[in-house]
Amino acid sequence: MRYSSFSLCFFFLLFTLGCNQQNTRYQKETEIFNRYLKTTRFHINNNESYLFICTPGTGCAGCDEHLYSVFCGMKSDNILLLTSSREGIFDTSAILKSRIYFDSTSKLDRINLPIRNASVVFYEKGEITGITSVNPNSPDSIDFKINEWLKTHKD
Amino acid sequence: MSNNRALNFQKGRCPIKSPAFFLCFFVLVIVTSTLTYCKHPEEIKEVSCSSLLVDSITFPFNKIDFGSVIYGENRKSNMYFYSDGDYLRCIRYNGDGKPLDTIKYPASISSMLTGFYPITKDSFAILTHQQLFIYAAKSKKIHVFNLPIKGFRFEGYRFAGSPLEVCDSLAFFFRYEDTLIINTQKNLELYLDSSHHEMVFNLNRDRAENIKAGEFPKEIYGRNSYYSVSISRCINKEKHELIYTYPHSKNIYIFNYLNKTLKKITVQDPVFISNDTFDFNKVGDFDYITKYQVENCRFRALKYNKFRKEYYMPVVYKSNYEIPNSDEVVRFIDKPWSILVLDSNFSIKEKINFPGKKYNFDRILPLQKGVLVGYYSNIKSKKDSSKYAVFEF
Repeated sequence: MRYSSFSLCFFFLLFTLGCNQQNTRYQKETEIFNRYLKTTRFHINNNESYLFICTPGTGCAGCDEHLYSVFCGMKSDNILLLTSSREGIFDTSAILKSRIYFDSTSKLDRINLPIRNASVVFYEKGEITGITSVNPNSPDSIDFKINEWLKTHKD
Repeated sequence: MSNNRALNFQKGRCPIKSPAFFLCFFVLVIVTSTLTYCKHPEEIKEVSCSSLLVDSITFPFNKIDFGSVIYGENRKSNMYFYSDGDYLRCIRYNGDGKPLDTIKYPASISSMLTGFYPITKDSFAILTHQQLFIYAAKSKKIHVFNLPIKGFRFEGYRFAGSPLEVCDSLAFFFRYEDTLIINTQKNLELYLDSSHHEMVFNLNRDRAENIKAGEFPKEIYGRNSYYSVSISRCINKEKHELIYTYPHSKNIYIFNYLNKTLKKITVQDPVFISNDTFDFNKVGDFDYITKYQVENCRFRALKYNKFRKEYYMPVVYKSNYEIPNSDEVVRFIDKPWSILVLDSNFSIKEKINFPGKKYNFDRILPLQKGVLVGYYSNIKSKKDSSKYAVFEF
């Protein structure tokens, strides 16, 4: 009887861990990213979902431009551009500028996240759910993931 | 005797105070220091980069598109020629970096410039994707050489590019292959060359010289190359030598293009660890490349100082990528670095240490009087991209 109650507790623990596993995949990245947003004073609403387009100063210029053109074509307020490069920013309209977070400290270039090239960070209510970088061999391939996100976040 | 010693110990006499202990201690200290010394059998004189001639020169060019080339005159001052996209710029160095002359490129050179080299103070070699131009600035005469490079292939794009150097009527440049084109809204960007090869064009015969076949070191042609592991070339004109180096290897290949002889010399740097583990399947993975560059020792392009008959080999030693208790990682360009000063036989004369985040290891220009070292600048903002300090090593 004692043995079976122990097994029951063990399986309950495993079940609980299994349920939480989805959220902990990007736990370290989420903590780092949230601290980054806080220190750079980029304010977001933690109850909403965002798509961060990141163009650090370390990636390929063509990949940056590709994501930048994607960003310019998107009208959602929850698609934000995080960049440490001023190039191209001043050509944009005032509406777009309000969705651009310019990192003058260049911390974006050194942050411990896999975003050394132009990347997209999928962010759901305070947590990172995915990070995808542009592949210089096929920059368009990232568009599919962005469109998928847009489909599920129409409102 | 032994009983007495045991007794003393039991009585509480401290063994540290005994002469035997002191003797053992000193022997240990001497042995330890000798061992530490033996870790560096080849004494390399290390100095910090403090011997500045001029702290800061800012050349009057805001944007230098693909680097700069210098032409040293054996006169009182040095003359520098730069290309900044639309213009050839010429300045004479006299401490203030004031411009001497500006020459616009001839109108016939309309396609993308990929290389530039001043042959004399009045004539320049200019390289585009498929053509080589020799331009005499005073007479405004231009000679066009069509290079035997077919632009498009199924896999990608081929073109001629930097580094371009001309000596003994031979033009040396790299032929880049399998380059992917990213056609962005604003401009055409060339990307990801999976390999590049040395190409030699004989200006007198108006044809490409086939000195590649079987005569250059196989390492140059027998493997993939990519910018993080790609080859660099330096020319010693007096000796008619092409000197090739890799970022990951201590081996230097010296090819005499007149005698067609090849020598291999290993740089005796005891700290540098050669590494050949780069995964070429990950050439598009910037995170992998960034981490790999930091965690492995890297040599940068060798420079020859013809005035002092010595070579400068910039080196960045390996370190950890992640910073403990920090949300940041180490960037390759932020790291402290050194210049190995090599004599004409490639033996290390001394090592000059540079701090991180101040000077740029890829912008070293030897002069008659001192060595120009560029200031560190943000790759994309190009701030300080035309600022240099002059060192006397």
